[in-house]
Amino acid sequence: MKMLKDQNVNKKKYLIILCTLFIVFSIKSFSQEKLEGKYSNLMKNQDSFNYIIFNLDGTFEYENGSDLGDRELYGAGEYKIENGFLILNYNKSKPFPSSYFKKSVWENNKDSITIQFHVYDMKGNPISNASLYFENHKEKPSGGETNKMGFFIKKIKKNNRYKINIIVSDINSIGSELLLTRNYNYDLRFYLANINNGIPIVGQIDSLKMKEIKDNNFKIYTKDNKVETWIKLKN
Amino acid sequence: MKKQKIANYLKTGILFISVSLLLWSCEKNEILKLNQLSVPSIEQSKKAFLANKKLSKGANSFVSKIAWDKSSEILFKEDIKVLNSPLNIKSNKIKSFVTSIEKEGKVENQIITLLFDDDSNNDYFSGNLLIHNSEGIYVKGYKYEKGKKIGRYIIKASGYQSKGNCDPVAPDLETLLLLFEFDPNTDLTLFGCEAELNTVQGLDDGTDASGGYIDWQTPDNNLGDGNPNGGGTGFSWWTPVFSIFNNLTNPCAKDIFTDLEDGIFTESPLKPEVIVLKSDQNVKLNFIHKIMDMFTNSSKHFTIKNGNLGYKNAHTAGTVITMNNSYLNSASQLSIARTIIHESIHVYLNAQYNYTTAFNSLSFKEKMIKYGRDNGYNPEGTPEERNTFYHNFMGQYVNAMAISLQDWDKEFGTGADLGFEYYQAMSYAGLFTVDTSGNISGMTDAFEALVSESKRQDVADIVINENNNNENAKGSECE
Repeated sequence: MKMLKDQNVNKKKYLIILCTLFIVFSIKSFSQEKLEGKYSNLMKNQDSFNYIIFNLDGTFEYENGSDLGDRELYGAGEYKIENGFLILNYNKSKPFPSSYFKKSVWENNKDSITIQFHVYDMKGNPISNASLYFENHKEKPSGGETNKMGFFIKKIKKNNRYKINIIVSDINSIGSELLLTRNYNYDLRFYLANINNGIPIVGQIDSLKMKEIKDNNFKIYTKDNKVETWIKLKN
Repeated sequence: MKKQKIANYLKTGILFISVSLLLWSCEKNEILKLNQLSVPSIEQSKKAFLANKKLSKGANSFVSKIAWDKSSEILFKEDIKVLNSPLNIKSNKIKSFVTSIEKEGKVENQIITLLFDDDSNNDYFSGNLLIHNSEGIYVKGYKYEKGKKIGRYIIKASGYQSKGNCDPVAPDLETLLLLFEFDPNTDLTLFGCEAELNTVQGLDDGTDASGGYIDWQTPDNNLGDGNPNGGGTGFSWWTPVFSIFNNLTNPCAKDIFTDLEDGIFTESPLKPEVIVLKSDQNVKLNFIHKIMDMFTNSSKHFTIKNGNLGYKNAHTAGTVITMNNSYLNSASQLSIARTIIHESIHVYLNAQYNYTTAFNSLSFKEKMIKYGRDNGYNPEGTPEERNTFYHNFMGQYVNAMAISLQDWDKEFGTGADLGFEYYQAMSYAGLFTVDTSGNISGMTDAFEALVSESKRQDVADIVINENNNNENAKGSECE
């Protein structure tokens, strides 16, 4: 009996030791690992960049872009390393107010319609030289540019059947495209967002299966099960 | 009493009439004076100018740079028109022209030189305006900021307080042009050291050097930004003609860009001492030269500079390229040249798409829009969508980029020909990404379509070698 009791006690001891070892191993491998610094999965000196900044308080910032403008995507949130997964929760970035327009409409019995354009940046400053592009059924496309006040006016024949497609663009802004019926007159006020801001990632959770974490890099498995290395950058 | 009142009224009336007549007489005098000024013909101006036997007329003289055949009548200041005869100068930051006027049957002239600050544009002039006489000797100089004259330089005037151990010296026109053609950023030492500015008030007393009433020689206090003589849109005599600004401070990158830009100039077949635009001589240009030429003849600016961009090699915002300092310190010259060419194509496409009036490019924009629609890309979309559009559209320019790179490398880079395929491989950079081990990790549709699977990694390896200037790079090192 005593032997059996001792054996049970030993089994319990082994189990506790095994469990402890497992927990310690798990913690050592991932759970208690914190990442700190800027990591990238792309080689330097390319036209593109893609990196995550990990902070010791469990937050992160993400940025991605190419050689056109400052960045394309960005985001911020909280991360954790759990059960061999790096979990990125984009819960701190906020939606970006992008380009938009306001439309006023009126009607009269004239045989042509007037479309007035006012193009501003998001702070309401007029954008001069904003490019306007008109596609009018089968006619050859025509163009125009806003003046110093960000203003341009277009007159076209009234037409019940066909619409006019308008593209408003600016070299430093996110443009806008809209389709209008040719029965009414319009006053259009465009507010264009700067192209350099990029678009935020909001409400996304990425679970990346980790292979290992080292001092200067970590490795994850991609969707097609390839190993991807993220290297810690010097600055 | 009544008589007294009438007499008083009459006296007052006579006084008013006398004052009016006096004022009318003065005004008439002014009108007469203005009417004495007229615009001479090119021949009259040239004859008067060249009659001076003291002028240096050698190969590097400023006289040899005057393009008399490009002379035109301009409105110099309110109501005063002059003949403008531009000088051919191989620099983006300077513009110089002879102004000639006929006054009482005699032709007078002076030379106006504009040294443009970076923010100078079609709306206003910012920079230094110097006036030299017809012998090229400095007369006076002004500083303008955003169209407003903020002061006149004091050069060794009486009571001048020297700063440090340096007295400013005004360069003659010939020296000035040589300095700027050699180094466009020489404005820091324009007078050898910092020169003080006098305030605008009371600088010019309204008379010209010959003591007349009409000062035709001194430019307005406002050049743009509300100036009635032009500006806003279109050209005026103070708007930059050369619109390419090489603001790179990295000497190696600066030289590479200058070499690329120099390809648009050639010697005049008639006057070997004069540098002219190749396009004016119908000389064939490669693609990068066509881009430079397009801006040289436009009202839009093309600027290149360097800065700290973190991890990427360069970026383009509108028509401004920024090269990353750390990349410039680690890449081969060939890689830097290819990046400049790649970014210049972004500038070209941005400009063609957005400045359809300035570049007469509406039909080109139509093609770009059609390309986007046919292939599911959106040039008006988010920055990510815009990037996808442009880098796929750029696939059509790979060979044009390769030829431009090859031309540059043979003349200014390695001096050898590395074979067209090598330059073509370099020109695919930006159309794919590589991971931290150098393996391709992402690619555009254009790269996938243009390069066979078996060759893609070889292409990437060439680009990486040159980007990092490692032992396998063939390009020369930046020293």
